[in-house]
Amino acid sequence: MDNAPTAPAEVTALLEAFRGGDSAAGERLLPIVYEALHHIAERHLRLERPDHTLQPTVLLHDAWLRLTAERGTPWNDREHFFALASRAMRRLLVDHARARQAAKRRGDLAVAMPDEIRAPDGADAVDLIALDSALDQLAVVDDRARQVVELRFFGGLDWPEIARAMSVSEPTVKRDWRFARSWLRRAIDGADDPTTG
Amino acid sequence: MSEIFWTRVRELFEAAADAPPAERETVLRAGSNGDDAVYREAAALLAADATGFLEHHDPLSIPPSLLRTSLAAESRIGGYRVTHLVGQGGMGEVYEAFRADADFTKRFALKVLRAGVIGNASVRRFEQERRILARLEHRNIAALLDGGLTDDHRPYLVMEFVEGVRITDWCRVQRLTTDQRLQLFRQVCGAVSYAHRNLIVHRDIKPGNILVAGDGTVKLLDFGIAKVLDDDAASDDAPTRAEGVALTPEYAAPEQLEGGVITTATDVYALGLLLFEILTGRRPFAAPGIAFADLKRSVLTRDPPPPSESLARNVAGSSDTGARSELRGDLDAIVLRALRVLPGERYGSVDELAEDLRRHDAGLPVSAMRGRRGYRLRKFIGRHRGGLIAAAIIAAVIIGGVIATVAQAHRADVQRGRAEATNGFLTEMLRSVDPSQSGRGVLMADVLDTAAARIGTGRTMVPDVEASLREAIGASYTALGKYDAAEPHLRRALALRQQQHETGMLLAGSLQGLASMFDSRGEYARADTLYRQALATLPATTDSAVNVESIDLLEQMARMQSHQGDFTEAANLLRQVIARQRAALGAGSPQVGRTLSDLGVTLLQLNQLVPAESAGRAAVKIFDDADVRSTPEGGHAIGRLASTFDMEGKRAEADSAYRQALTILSVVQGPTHPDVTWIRYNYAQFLSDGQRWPEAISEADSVLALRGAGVPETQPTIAATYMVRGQARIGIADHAGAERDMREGVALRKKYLPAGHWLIGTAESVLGEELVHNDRLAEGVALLTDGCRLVARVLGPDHPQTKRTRGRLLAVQPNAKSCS
Repeated sequence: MDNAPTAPAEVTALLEAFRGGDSAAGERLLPIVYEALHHIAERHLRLERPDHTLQPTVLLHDAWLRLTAERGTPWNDREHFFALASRAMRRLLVDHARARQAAKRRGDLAVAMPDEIRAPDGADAVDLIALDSALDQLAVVDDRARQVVELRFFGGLDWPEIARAMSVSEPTVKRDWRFARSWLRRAIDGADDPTTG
Repeated sequence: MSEIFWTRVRELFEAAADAPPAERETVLRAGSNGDDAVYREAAALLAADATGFLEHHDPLSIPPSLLRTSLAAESRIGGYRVTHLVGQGGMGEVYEAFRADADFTKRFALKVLRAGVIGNASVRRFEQERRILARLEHRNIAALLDGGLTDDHRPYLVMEFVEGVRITDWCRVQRLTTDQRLQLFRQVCGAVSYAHRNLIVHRDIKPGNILVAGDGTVKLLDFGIAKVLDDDAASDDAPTRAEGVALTPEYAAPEQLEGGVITTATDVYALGLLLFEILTGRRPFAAPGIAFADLKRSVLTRDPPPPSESLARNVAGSSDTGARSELRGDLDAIVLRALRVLPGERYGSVDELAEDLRRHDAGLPVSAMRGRRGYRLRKFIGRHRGGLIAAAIIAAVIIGGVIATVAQAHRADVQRGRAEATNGFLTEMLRSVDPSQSGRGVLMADVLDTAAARIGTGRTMVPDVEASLREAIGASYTALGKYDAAEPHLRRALALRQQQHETGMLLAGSLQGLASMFDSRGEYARADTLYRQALATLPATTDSAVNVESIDLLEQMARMQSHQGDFTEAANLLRQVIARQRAALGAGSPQVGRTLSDLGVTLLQLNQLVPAESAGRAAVKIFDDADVRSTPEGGHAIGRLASTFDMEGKRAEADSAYRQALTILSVVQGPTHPDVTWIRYNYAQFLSDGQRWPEAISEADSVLALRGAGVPETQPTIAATYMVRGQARIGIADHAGAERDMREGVALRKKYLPAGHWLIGTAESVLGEELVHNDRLAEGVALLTDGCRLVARVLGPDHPQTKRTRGRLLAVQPNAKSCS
């Protein structure tokens, strides 16, 4: 993949702006983080055994290092950055799932891949594309719950990290998570009756 | 409203989840406070919670290394910098992009179309198409801003980046009421109608292309892109190739599945599907995982279920009778009208569909249900003459007609009771037609025979319900051409109305039903008497329902007079229609335009060219002012005006009007539509008359290219166009070609016209003249003589056509005796 990096100074400026609460800077950073994640994932996979399972947190830390520490920007509240990185991770994985689905339709996929994410214990698999669209819907109902899912599921953060990233208490995060999980499950099952009851 | 709803659901869900399992049901019951919807939602969330969803999954257990996109991140395309892939679909890939040189914050969607490397001709067409699409500026249409070719020669388009939720998801998540859903849908109609006025057809309307932004604004994506892809797939030398390529089979109209012609009616169908899905949460045909062949068969051969029935099945046993009854009636009828298999039977334009929704909203009768009492029923039955259809649909159509009858009588209080009585009768009747297999198809004629046999027996029936049913049965038999079966029911209905001392609309309707039957049977005098009686029972009033009724009557009478060839009386009747329509609907109503256009054509038959032109001009002006020029009716009004100008010898006006009509109708009806080929043939004749030979030949070529490819050779247009092209070829001294065309024209006319038709004679005469010119004297003279004899025999010795054919013969053989 061609990697024409955005000028380091520009990235630094964007990171600073984002840290200061500029959400437009976040939008601008998202593709950069996305690219970093993609790059790191590829490198890991080249070096490791092909069936190795990557830990999301490892990727996120690496991306953070790559974009901040290596550029000499000291940035201590990395959880804030993780919120962004989790979103990028979500996009990366969903894009990947879409590409795979499209390739399957075309029938030209060289390597057979499992369709969905398998749970280690053999529980129900997760359809990432359906999850992605359900998350968009959840954002309309409760955007904070949406963000918790991104941090926990796509970013692999633990409860204290999520609470710090979102500046809310741990019990609140857990309640958001419980509601979001249930809501998403129901949205994906599509059992909803379309008319007002 | 929806925010409050979800807050309540969440509170209740959390209270219950925090409680010990044994107490949860009690908490739910108590906390929902009788709100069934909140209770159900919270209970469903509790059940979902128990599945442990997302708790034990690791999203990275699959290496993301296979993510392949055709554009690398940070690629430069034109003046844009691509960041990442946001979606993939049938049409290609969509990337997020920013301007490379300025403004880092404004996002764009850059679509790289799936088409492969394209040739020069296609590039030109792509550019043309793109410029046309770029002209669309509407708040509900995502703007097309830029486009071009990538380095590897793939077309790309740059559009406004729209962030939003699919319209169907939005309706569900926001838990919109039916009224709110309809309001969103009307925004969609407004956007599509705007594009149609600019002669652009979307071709791929589906929920995935209609997003709702956070503020509730609808945005339509990908307007006309399907055409760009389609054109690219078509090769340059096959302009007449059937155009339809369904990008999304689940949302394709029948003509797209069949590879037919795409017109604005295609979008009307897609809007019908969308409305169905918005109202019911499901699609009429596409079950998940349905095979393409099965889907295609269903769409082409089956009528969709009424939305209210689909909803009934969807939530069987639940308490949604409220929503169901909201859909039953008007909305069912509106959706089904948009979803007709034949494009010509759908709403003529998106505006008509939107207008019906507006009328439904305002509590006015909708056109899909209303008026032309027998008319819709007749068309419907005509189409299902021999086929199997769902019993429920027959019932819906007949009940619709009966309810409309009763509704017109302005008796809101008794209306419901009457409708229920009718419904009960029909249900029973349909069950007895097909006792074992309710729901499977039945034959229209069987239903009618059963109904006809039962109606006089068994339960006693309220007289006006019996009359309404007999009128419906009579109208249905009339439509099937079984006039003798129709007559007793129509007479009995009339007698019942008279016994009830009915006056006004109900009596008029009954008289009209009987009159229509005589009219169809060709007994015009009896029909005329009854029509006039019906008219006389209608009081002179400003009441709009009564006016609609009398207008309908007068129109039917005018049609009958036209059929009989009494154009003077037809014109009189049409003038009365116009006067009443102006009073009832306003002078600017498109319906007035329609009648004015009919009047213009009628006057043309009477050779009254000046009043014909002013009627035609007035019609076109009305369509222009109402902004409905780009509809089948608007296009036809212009086409008819073109013929008027043509006959008047106003060549410049005729030329421009012909072109406008053809441009509009090719988009709204498609180039193969018989009406369109007729106008094109007229235009070719016009050009040939003006000695513009190459243009005439080119227009004729366009018509003849459709022979067997959309236009069957049995259509008289084909033969007529061969004759015109032959004449034009003489103009450019291509005598061999001329002879070939004329021979083909004569052969087709002999093959498909009844033996002895005068058109065969004129064609032979024209061919004979050309053969003489080509030095084949004997054969030529024989044809000239035969042709002249035939025309003289059929049309009489003094008809202009006879004089013309005789003239041709005499020019070759001055001493030929009269050919008659």
